[in-house]
Formats: sequence, C-alpha cells, structure tokens
Amino acid sequence: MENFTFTFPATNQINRFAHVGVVGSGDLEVLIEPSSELQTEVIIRTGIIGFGATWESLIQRFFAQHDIAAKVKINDFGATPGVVKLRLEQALEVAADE
Amino acid sequence: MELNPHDLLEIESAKELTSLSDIPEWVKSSIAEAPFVVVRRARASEGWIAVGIRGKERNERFAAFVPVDRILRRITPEQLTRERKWNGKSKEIFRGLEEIGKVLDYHSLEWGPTGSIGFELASGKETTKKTSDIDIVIRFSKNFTLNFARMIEAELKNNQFRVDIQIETSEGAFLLNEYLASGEKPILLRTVDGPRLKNIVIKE
Repeated sequence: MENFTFTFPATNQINRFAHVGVVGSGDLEVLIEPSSELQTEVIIRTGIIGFGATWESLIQRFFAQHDIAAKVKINDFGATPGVVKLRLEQALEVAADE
Repeated sequence: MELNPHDLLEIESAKELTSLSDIPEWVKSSIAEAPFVVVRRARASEGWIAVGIRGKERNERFAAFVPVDRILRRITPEQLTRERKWNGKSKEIFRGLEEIGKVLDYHSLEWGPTGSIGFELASGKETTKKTSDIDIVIRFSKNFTLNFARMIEAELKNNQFRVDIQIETSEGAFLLNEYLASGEKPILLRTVDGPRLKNIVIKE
C-alpha cells in the first residue's frame, strides 16, 4: 500500500459531499468533502506500488483546471489515468449539485 | 477472427509482442512461463490486436500489440464456463466460482471467469491468491433491469470471495455494483475509445 498527499491553494467552495466510483479492480473510489480552508488536500491510497510520479502529474493537472477548496480522498485499485480523471470529474459534478 | 476484451490468446513467445515502450524483463519471463495475453479494450491497426500482459505483482501490467495471424489459440471466458474448467480442482476459490456459476446459470446468463481466475483456468499457471477477487463477465441482455441486477447481487452476496462483475454491452462494459448504486445517474462505461459516463436505464 502506498500513500500520497498533495495540497494546492484553492478558492471556490463546493456545495456538498460526494462519493463516486467503486471498490474493484481497475477502478477507484473518490470522496470529496467541502473544506473551510482555502486549499485542496488530496490523499491517495493505492495498492499499486510505483506510480507516484504519474499520480502527481495527473492530480496537479486536474486541480490546476478545477479550482475547488475541498478534502479529496482517493482509494485506488489500479485504475488507469483515464478512469481516474473521469471519476474526479464525476465527483465534482455531484459535489456541485445544489 | 472475432476477438473481444477478456479473451485470452495463446502466442508462441514474447517475440510476437510489439510495443511503443521497451518490453520489460518480467514480461518476457511471464510469457515464457505461460504464453497467454489478454485482449485489451483498445483500438489497434488492421491486422493487429491490443493485448495486455500480467506479471506476478499487481503493478506488473504491460500493454502491447500482437499480429492477429500470430494467435495460436483463443480462449473466451464463456468457453471456460462451458467446459467447467474448474471441476475437480481443490482450491477454495474454484468452489467459490462454482457457487457463482450455479446462480448465473440458473438465470440463463452468458458469463465466464476473467482476471486472475480466468487466467489460471486457461493457462494452468497458478495466478490466484487466497485474497483474490473472483472477476466475472456477463454478456448484457435486456433482462438486466435494476431489479434483476439486485436479485443477482443478493444471491451472490454470501460468497466467501469478493465477486467483481462486469456487464459487457455492445458499446462497452460497466460494473454491476456501480449500476446498482447509480440511482439512474450516469455511470462509468469502459469503451474501446476510453472510459465515459453514461446513463444506463433498462425499463422493466
């Protein structure tokens, strides 16, 4: 098991908690909760060792495009970068729901 | 030759593999031990097929291409089911699979084992661990309403292994679990052109 934490400055609040994705091979769970601090904190837990650099560039790029102040937890089960990005977008959509 | 994601293909050796990146040593030794690759959900040029190679560790997955005319044998998940390849095997996980099989057969579903358990059945090489999930593919039928999916899930719930079911449609595949939890919201569909979000609603 490997863990990574990334934090970025952020300004936009989100409306609510979101939980998308599934526990299962090739997939991941994303949990997003609003944060009162002006930052995004992303905590990643993955059973697939050795992809720290891939995670870092993917997460950095995603949150450079989406400025949200939130706590994000990712539980990964070997998802491809394409699936990770789509799950993050899906979570943001749910979190933005009024 | 019709080839679909999850099909296992037997090849002569690692020499048949073509990839944009260098082929790691573990890929060569893995193919030397069990010369099988799995069809990936990705496009390939005419005459080629996108495949994946699995190693011992979960981070050992490698993407490559194989010329279709170099395939020695194709084994589909359904074939493993038809031949009841796990009959007479003593490992606990195969008893788990037999239990799943009873349920899916009872509902007349077209299905087969994939992932590590499918690989072990096709290649004869020990791939599953005590902690392995049982990966299953079920071919989509229009019976697959939410109620039907709930019934299947309930009947598989008591299995001692984690059962991971993918429903394969003509457009792509989705997970049974996610479909059940979707509440008619879009879910992830894995297509040959990558993942996308799609509403899966099947009327009673």
